[in-house]
Order: sequence, then C-alpha cells, then structure tokens
Amino acid sequence: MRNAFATAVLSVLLVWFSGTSAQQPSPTPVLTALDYLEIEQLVYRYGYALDTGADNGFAYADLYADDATFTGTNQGPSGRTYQGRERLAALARGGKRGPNFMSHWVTNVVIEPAPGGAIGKTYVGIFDIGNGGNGAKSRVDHGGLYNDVYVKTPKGWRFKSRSFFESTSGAPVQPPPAMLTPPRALAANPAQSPNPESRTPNPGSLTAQDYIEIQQLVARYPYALDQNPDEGQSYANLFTTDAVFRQPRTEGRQNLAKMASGAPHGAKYARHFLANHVIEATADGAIGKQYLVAVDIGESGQPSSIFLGGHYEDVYAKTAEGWRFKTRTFIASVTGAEVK
Amino acid sequence: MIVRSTRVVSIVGVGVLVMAWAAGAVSGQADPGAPRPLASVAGKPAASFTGLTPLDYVEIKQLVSRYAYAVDTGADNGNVYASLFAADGAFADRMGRETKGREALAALARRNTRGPQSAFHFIVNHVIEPTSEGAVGKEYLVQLRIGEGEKPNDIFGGGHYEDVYVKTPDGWRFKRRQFMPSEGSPRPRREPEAR
Repeated sequence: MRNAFATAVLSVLLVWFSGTSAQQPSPTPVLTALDYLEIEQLVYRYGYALDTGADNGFAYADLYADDATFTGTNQGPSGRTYQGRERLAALARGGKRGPNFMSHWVTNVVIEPAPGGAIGKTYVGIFDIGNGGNGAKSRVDHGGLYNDVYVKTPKGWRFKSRSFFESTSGAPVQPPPAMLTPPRALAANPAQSPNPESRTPNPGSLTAQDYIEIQQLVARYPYALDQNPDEGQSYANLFTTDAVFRQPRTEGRQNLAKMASGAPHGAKYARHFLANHVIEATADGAIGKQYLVAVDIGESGQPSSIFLGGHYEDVYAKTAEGWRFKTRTFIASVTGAEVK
Repeated sequence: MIVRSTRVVSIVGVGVLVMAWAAGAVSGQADPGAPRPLASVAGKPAASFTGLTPLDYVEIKQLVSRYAYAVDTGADNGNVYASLFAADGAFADRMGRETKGREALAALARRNTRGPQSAFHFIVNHVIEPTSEGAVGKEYLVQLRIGEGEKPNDIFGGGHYEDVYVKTPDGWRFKRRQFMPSEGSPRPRREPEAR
C-alpha cells in the first residue's frame, strides 16, 4: 500500500516537474493539446494586462513565474531586463492605459516543447488606436517580435522569460536563442498524448491536436518568410513536395525557397501578421483561410505603413513530417466590390 | 502533504521532491492529474475549471475566426453572420444597444459588408474562460482599410469584443457579443473587479 502510494506520488511529481529545474538538464516534456491552449491563453492575456494596467500592474506581473524576466532589447544600447513582481508590475503603470485601451496586438504564436517546459515566439504590432472613434488618427506605433520561455507552475503556465525585439529589416543579425530551434515535428505524436480528449474526433474527423498542429504550421509561415534564416529552406519545408503557391504561381520546394529568399527578410524582421484562422476538415485532409496584413514597421523614427492585406486560402495535407501546405493562395483585399 | 511526501523520500529517494518543494510546487493540489485551471484575465487562477475540453477551445476559436469573414463579406445575404449567433443571440454596440435575432443580425451584416473580397476585421488575443453555463471570451480588434482604390491603406479603428458563448446542438455560438472601442486614458485606472 505504502509502495503504491509512493509510486503514485512520485509519478505525479515527475509528470508535474519534469524539467522545471534550472540546475540540471531537464527532459523535454510532451505538450498536450491543453498545454498548447493554456500557453496560448497566457500569451493572449499579456496584451490586456499590459494595456489596461489592471490591478495596479500586478495583473501583468502575475503572468510571470516568480524569478522570471522581461527584457526590452530596444531599451538603451544593450537592452534592459526587469525581474521581480514589483519591477514587472511597474512596467504596466503610467503612460496611456485604461480598461478599454487595446494596443498590443499579438499573433503568429509558435509554441514548442523544450527542456523545462516550452518556448515560443510571437509577432506584436503595437497600435495607437484613436480614442473611441472620435476622429483621432490611428496608427501602428511600432512592433516586432517576442521570444518566450514558458514554465508550468502550480498556478498554470507562466512566462519564465519574455524578450522584445523591435522589428528591423536589412542585414541579418545573430538570431536570439529561441529562433535557433531547428525545424521539427510540429507537435507531439497524438498517440503519445496523455490526454484522451485531444484525440476525440469531431464530426469533420480533425482532432484537437490536428487543429493545433495546423495552427502551428500557419503560425510558422511569417517567420520563415520574414526572417528566413536558411535561404528559404524553412519556408519551403512548410509545404508538401508537390505544393503550389499563388501568386506568383510557384511549384515545388526548390522554387518556393528561391521565392522566399527574394522577399525582404532579416533576423528580427516582422512584416506578415496573420489573423482569423479558420480550419475545416475535408475528405483527404483540411482546408483553411486566414487574414494577412503586411505592415512595414517604421524604423529610425519613420512612421509605419500598411503594405498590403487580404487573405490566404489553403489546402493542408498530413504527411509523414506532419501537416503541410499543399496549396496556398493569396487574395488581396478589395473593398467596395459589389456584394454577391 | 509534506509529512507524507517525506515518507516517500525515504523510500524512493529523490531530489525530485526537493526540487518540487524548492519550486513551491507541493501546495495542496488535490488532484494533480486533473486539467489545470487556466489563469483568469487578471492573471490569477480561475475559480474552477468547469470542463472545457481542448476541442471546445478549438471550436470557440473557430467560431470567432469565422466572424470576421462573415461580417466583412456579408455572405449569403448576411445569413452566415447570423448563423454564428444562438437563436436568441445578440450583438451589442458600444452603447450596449442590442441587435437580436437571426433576421436582424443578417440585416446588420448586409449593412456592414465591405465586399466579398474584403478583409477589414483583424481579430487577435482571443482569451477564453469557462463558466458554469458555457464560456466567455474577449479579443482585440483592429479594423484596417486596405485596397480601397487609390486611397492609402490605413487603420480605421479598433477596440475589443466581450463575448458570451453557448454550446448549442449545432455547436458553439455567440450568445452575446459587445464591441468596445479602444480608449486610452492618460493616467492608469483600475479595472472593474468583475466582468
């Protein structure tokens, strides 16, 4: 009885804290569908906490683990790091805030399991939206990338570290650590998932894990295009070997890599912001669509501008490597067209 | 818990426990195998996890993503937009004035469409919380004017939605959605306790 209890307690603790120690090498955990969703929820709460300054800034501070840090790499010549609940809370005080103020627009959330928990990265557009539609001019103030490390605490997933990188076009610079992760399988094998709920098929026969893997595929697209660390290989590898991109019509991974390399890119460049990702099951895979806005974030004090916008229409295929684009078509936004 | 665990240490030996304690880990969680509570909007643990499955989260996310297409394109004479709401569902404007019922909602979409190929409502930061009757959520919205002839692309406005979702036989639907425009205050203000 005692042994059974001991085993149960130990296994529980092992599952809980596989990898939370910073002192010793930690195994890479298997992230369940719920882990992905909870981390995503943490990432989305960030904007509300920072923009509203709720609870005198402590809503923001409480998104971090006890010893966690925020680093603004754009602050001063070598960046500035904040640690501790009070110092983090102070970041969410003062300035333009309020219960209805919405500024930090976060998207393209990529999450990966990593030793000790998970790492992630997101794009952030920081908007200054005119007050209440009263005619004040709205603008993109600035924007860039967050690189995150997440840790699972007794209270749930929290930031262990978050670093902001201002979007910078031009010559590649040394990528920050979370960007060095090589392409890998998008998520744990569903068969290994300890959460049976994540395998429950819906009527369209996509599981929660499938949805998450397709979302992760699409979220990776902007990084592969805007940062393009490897001459388009990461970009091309998001597609099946026989995939077609439009427009311009580009077929096969070699041509896709070449196309990506011809687009502006840089290690800290954030331009393609995606939103509104819809996914539907089909007989042989899935289809989906998202909105795109390409924002040219102003550099060196220049104003930002919106380069283009519209939506992608995708066909996804599940390959031995995971979900991939089979076709991807961009359709530019046209407003004022006659309603069908 | 600590007393019992000490016994375990003597049996299985383990730095794991020491590490767990050091991390403040063993803190009276009754059922560590159960789904963990999602943090509340204020970053504090939600009162309880009332049973949204991963698929529920995914389906609610899909509902919200579909909203943008439905309102921007006004597809099917506005009926696609209306079908995202429960039969008694309502959209509320910034003043709280409600548009309720399928036909009124379809008419709203017909009035607001910007064309079948338009992308105007960009919605992100989707936070979802379970409630005893379903779920609530909120998102950021930025409205972008793109592709309007010769006009330069620009930002029309933005703010956030506050949603109530209900699970119907047809799937998750909006029971109520309210838009609140973004308003910045020059001084920090305290957020109301509950929402």
